Amino acid sequence: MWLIVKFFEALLGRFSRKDSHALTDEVLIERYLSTQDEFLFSILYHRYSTKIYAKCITMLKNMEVAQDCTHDIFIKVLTNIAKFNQQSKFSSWLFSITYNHCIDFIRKSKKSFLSDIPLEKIVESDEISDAFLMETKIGRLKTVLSEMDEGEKTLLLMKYQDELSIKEIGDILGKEDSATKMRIKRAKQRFKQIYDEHYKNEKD
Amino acid sequence: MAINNFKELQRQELADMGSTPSSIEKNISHNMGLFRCIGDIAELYLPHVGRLFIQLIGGNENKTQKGDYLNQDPIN
Repeated sequence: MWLIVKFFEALLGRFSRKDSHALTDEVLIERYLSTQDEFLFSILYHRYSTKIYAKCITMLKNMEVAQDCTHDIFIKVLTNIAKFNQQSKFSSWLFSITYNHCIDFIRKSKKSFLSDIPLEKIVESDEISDAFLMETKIGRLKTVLSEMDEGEKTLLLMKYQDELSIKEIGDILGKEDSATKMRIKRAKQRFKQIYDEHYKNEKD
Repeated sequence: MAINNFKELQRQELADMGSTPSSIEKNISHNMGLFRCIGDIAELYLPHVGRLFIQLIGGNENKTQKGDYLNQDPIN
């Protein structure tokens, strides 16, 4: 009897797969939670796996470790998907898990991440606009980011590439909003400093 | 719309990188199968384990069922 029920569940699941690719992340999650259909989770996997894998490579600098971490991140998503409360976007939630996992990995391998330099050391200067960073030419952006401290670079990627909110970044780092803002400000200053070292005398 | 070259950089990097290794998806799928199997086994056998546990600690499960009521004398 049990097998027959399972068989019909699987059969119904297959009929409802039609057009699943066009569904939003949130609807896919709802359907996955009610049907437990692997296919729906695989759509989410294909939507985000490349981004997550790329992020892991960028942060961990090792292809094999990045593969293991990508696997672990998706297993974490799978086991915690019922806890996703849809208050933020699924992508933000997924990126938060990714950053947390990678930062934990870096800390476990006894490397420092965003080492706690006292905030007083920040040099007071003019606010650097978001537009300055976002409009930096791609080649230059690559160069400047490659020369930044890993933690500060990650902060900028969280803010400008993944568009995480201050609260979400703070949650990942375990810092208050004000401390997070200060760290972002410091990362922007560092970006500007490296940029000026390379390109101040060059024309756009 | 405002220019955001961070996003453009990401697009380029993803294009250069190609797709993720298929082994990751295979392993995830394998794990999902394992979770499902464990879940199904638990769903099937957990009630029996519960009953066994009750019997082991000397409890007596109430076996009164609908059918029993039907067979009872309505007066007594």
